[in-house]
Amino acid sequence: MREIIKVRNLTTKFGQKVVHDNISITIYKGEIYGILGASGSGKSTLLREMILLEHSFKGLIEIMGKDITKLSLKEEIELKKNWGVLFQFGALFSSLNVLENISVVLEEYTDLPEEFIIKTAISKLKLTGLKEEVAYQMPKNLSGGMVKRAALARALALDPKLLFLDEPTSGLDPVSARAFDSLIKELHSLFKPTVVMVTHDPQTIANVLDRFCILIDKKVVFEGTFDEAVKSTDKKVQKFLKPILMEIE
Amino acid sequence: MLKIITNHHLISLVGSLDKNTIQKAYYLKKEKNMAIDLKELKSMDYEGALFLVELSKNHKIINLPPHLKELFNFVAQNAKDLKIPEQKTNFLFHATNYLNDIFFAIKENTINFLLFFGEFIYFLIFLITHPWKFRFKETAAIIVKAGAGALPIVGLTSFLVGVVMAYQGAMQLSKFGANIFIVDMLDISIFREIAPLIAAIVVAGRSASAFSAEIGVMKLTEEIDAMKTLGFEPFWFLVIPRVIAMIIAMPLIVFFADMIGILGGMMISALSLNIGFDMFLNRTRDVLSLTQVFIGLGKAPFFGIVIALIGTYRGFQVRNSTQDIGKYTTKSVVNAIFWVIALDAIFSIIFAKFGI
Repeated sequence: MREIIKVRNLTTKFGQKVVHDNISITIYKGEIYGILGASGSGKSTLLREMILLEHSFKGLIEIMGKDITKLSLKEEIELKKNWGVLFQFGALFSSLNVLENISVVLEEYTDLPEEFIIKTAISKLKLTGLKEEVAYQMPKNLSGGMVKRAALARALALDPKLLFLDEPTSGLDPVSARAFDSLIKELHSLFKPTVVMVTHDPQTIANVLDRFCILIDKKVVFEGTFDEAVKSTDKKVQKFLKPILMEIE
Repeated sequence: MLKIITNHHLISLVGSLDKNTIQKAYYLKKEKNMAIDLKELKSMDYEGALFLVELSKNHKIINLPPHLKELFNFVAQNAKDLKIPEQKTNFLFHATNYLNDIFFAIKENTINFLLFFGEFIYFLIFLITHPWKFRFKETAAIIVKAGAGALPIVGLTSFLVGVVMAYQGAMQLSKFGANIFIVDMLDISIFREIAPLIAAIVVAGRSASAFSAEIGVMKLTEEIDAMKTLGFEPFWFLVIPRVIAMIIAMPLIVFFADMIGILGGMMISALSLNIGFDMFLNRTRDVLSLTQVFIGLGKAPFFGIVIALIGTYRGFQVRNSTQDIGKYTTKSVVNAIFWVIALDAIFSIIFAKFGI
């Protein structure tokens, strides 16, 4: 399998506070990869570093073979076109309606005719399980689950090879959360993007992820599949998995 | 890359049909009843598949490669009953809607502010009956931030206004040889009108906006809701301390503005009218009655109340979007400045009626 994201000897410090201490992970092409760990263990920070939002780290992060600290502005934009990001609270542009939130990306990066862009945007909206009627609503009028779906539709606008999801099911009710899980799996089997997600959700961890890493005390204590994790003898891994295993039983 | 080979009614698409190449083939949508051969199509993306689905309505798609079938079928399924909802664009509809919105907003705003003012009166009475519950620490912090923090810019502004007034006055008065009257002019106008107004406008710009933004952000992050659930009445914790702080701080700021404004006037009088500081101050003792000073200082707490109330009121109007912060912060500054000036005019009329 070809690696798509490579993190090597990464150390992150915010002032005096060490967030990551010399961690390394590898994400392979086409898999659904999870970044797990307790609250405050630097999961989101790691994700933000991968998507070029956080720069206060030392070490190597390579995405699609490119060292992300050594990109020119043009290369950065080229790289960014390859990924879609779903933020924890959606981060839809509040001045645009749902349809515009999706179509703005296509308008910016393609020369497709207006009517086709609208058609594409609406069909992506439907893809995420939203109804066409939502198209002209403003983000502030949507419920949490709808915001997430709309935000996912925006992340999918450019058919990304890499999909970053920050806590995709947090804040959703169990039914919506499971529906969101299967949506992600369905989209994954269709478009085969590499999915990298930060998550807490035991069901997601057990059912959706191909591989994952666990961040505890600034270190990566485990990297591998769920079955491997269950078999692991490491105390920290066992302690972390215990509530998850209880939950999914 | 996409190549289109046309052979009478047979069109072959060769290469990759994706969002960057659809443009080339887009003209096919206008034509009808052709056979579109996809034998040589290497790849397509979501947009490409959607485009093919569109084409399949008027054309015949043949030889779809097996590895693209899944995507095509999925998109076809998804786009089967795709309808683009209409947006109402009727002009009359818009115009009446717009007017309706305006009237509704005015009505809503008036009622809301009256409710807010009522709550203010209620908590004012609560404050008088329960003074020991007053939040002294918060109030002191706000006095420092909104009061002491405003001194540099208020000082600079009133100094410059004093300078400007003295210059303009000096030019006119020296024509008549009535140099000494510059003192009368500056004393009365600065103490009674200019310094309170300048100070209030600057503070309105600084603090009304700050109050709105602070409270607005707290509303967005649900801090206000959190306070309510804990039984902390937001009005008591956020509005009353700000109002009281402004009532205390404004007269002090105005007094500071008085002093600096007169200093500016004095310097210009000394430089261009040969009226030394000692002569200026002696004349001041003769012409300036305490009434004038107290009228200026007496208006200050009311300006403070207006600024604090409008600032906090607009902050509470923020609802679930970041844009609201900008909108209501702007409104609060514009309203606060307007009401400061309007209140000053009202005071002028009242004082004139009573002959003060």
